[in-house]
Amino acid sequence: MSDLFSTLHTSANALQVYQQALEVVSNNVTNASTPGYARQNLSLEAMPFQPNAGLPGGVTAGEVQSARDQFAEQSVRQQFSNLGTLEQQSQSLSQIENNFNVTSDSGIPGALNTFFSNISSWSVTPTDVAARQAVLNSAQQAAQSFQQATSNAGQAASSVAQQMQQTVDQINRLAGQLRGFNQQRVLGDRNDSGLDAQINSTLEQLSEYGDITALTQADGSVTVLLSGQTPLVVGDHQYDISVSFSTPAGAPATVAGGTPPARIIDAQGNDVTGHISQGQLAGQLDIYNNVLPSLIGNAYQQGDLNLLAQTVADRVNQILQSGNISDGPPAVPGVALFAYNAATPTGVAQSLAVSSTITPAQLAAIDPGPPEVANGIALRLANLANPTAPADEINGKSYAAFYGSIAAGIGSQSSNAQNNLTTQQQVVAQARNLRSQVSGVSLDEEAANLIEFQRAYQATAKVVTVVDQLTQSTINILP
Amino acid sequence: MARAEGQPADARVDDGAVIAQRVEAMLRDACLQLTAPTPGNIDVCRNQLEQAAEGLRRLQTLAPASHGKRRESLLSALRAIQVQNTGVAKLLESAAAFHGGWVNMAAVMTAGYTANGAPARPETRRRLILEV
Repeated sequence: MSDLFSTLHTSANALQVYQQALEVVSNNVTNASTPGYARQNLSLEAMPFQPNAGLPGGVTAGEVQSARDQFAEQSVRQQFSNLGTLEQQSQSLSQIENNFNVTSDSGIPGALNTFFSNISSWSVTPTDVAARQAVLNSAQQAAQSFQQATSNAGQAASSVAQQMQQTVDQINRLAGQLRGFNQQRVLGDRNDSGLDAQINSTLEQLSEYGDITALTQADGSVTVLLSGQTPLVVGDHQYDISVSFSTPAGAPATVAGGTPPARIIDAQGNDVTGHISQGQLAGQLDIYNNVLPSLIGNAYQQGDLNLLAQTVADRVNQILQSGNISDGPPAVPGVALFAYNAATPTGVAQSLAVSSTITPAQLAAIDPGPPEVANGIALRLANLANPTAPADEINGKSYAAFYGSIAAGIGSQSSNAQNNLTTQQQVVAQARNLRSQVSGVSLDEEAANLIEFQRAYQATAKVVTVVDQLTQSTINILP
Repeated sequence: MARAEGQPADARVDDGAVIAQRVEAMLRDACLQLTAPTPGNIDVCRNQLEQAAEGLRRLQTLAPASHGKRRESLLSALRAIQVQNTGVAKLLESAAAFHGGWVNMAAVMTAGYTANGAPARPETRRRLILEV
């Protein structure tokens, strides 16, 4: 009789175990599409079977094990960080590129082209008032086109600065969530699949903003590091980062009036900007600290647009001032056409304007020579469109070609970022697929498990029924 | 190729542009296969890359010295090939890095680390004999 009861006991245990196994399968199927969820398995363990020693055998439920693989998770997060960088670069460069259309008749190339074309017309009829007025008007337009281009680039910089602040806020917010999850995990069930999914989903979101490393500690909490060394979350402590727009103490500004770079500061006040190389934050830092300053300058460089504006203005003024408005006597020397704020090298393009005091009659066309040439200055100005002397060039290029090289550089960066973004989206899909192979829920596999455990459950239930019948038969045999 | 021999340069460019577009389409398909780098997909991808390489070889022989819009269309197709080619390379590299990581982890679990911190190679020549 005792054997029958022990068999009944063993079977009852088995029913409970298979019930749990079916619940795990059911949970897997239910969460097949849940972000961050990893397949779980209930490990089944055999009980000692030695009937002589009173050990009836049977099965017992071991731990519920997660199929999550940290290597696969880190691979996905790394690719997400790369995607974040490229998304940001692609978006910002596309916005900047729109201001540098070299094929257009508008903008700086169109305005400079019109300006030199009008000077050429003026050189044919140097005393013609209408031709002189056209030169002044087109000079005004050229100045405005520089102002517009720098204003647009400045707006792009403001937008990126704002995005950077939002990104830092998001990183701190997600780090706060992870700190909360750590507290729950330390105090609660370490095998809570729901909490595990939330943690990994949050880590994935975080990785798009920055390159993060997640280390699971012995107590189940997750330590999160930004760029491998800046702590964001350690146990139930959160370390906020911040963005600062200031010149670092060790690298003082070299260009007067230039805007300071953006810097990322950790909770201890250390500058960790140099460590951030991936994620949207890295993309924003690159645009704000490198790409835009190469155009409109910052505390360390003048910027190519300012260089172009200053070179054009200085050269035109120099040529005009070397000529005469009238040959007198006494001869009246030429005056400057353009004016700008020379005190701030990074503000030249923004402040470029036609001198407020110049009139059409004050445009100096006469080259005093010797020999004196009535339209000599106008001709020299017209030749700036196709220069032959180094003094009329920037870095060995005409003004139009120099502008073209700026535009081509931005266009090339934008095109590369766009192409790389498309590829990176596929790489992310690949990393997710590879992770899915390791830890994802396969509905086919779960269906097979379901049938397997269901059969085992049915078989055990049958054993219970048989034992029950045997017990009843035994009772009936008793006198 | 024999057909291209006696044709004017522009006609050969047309052929070249068509071949280039096919190559680009093959590479694009290869990229899609590589987003799920299962052994089966990698096998399909290998065939596509071989065909693409054959197409590129044909393009080299057809590469004409032409002008105008037709040359532009060929150049445009070739640039698209470059983009897809970069994508294939990147996807292959990332898949290899993933599997390489697994191999390294397996090596570390079986043989530990070398003196300079790299994963050690399991020694396959030695035998362990247990005598009971």
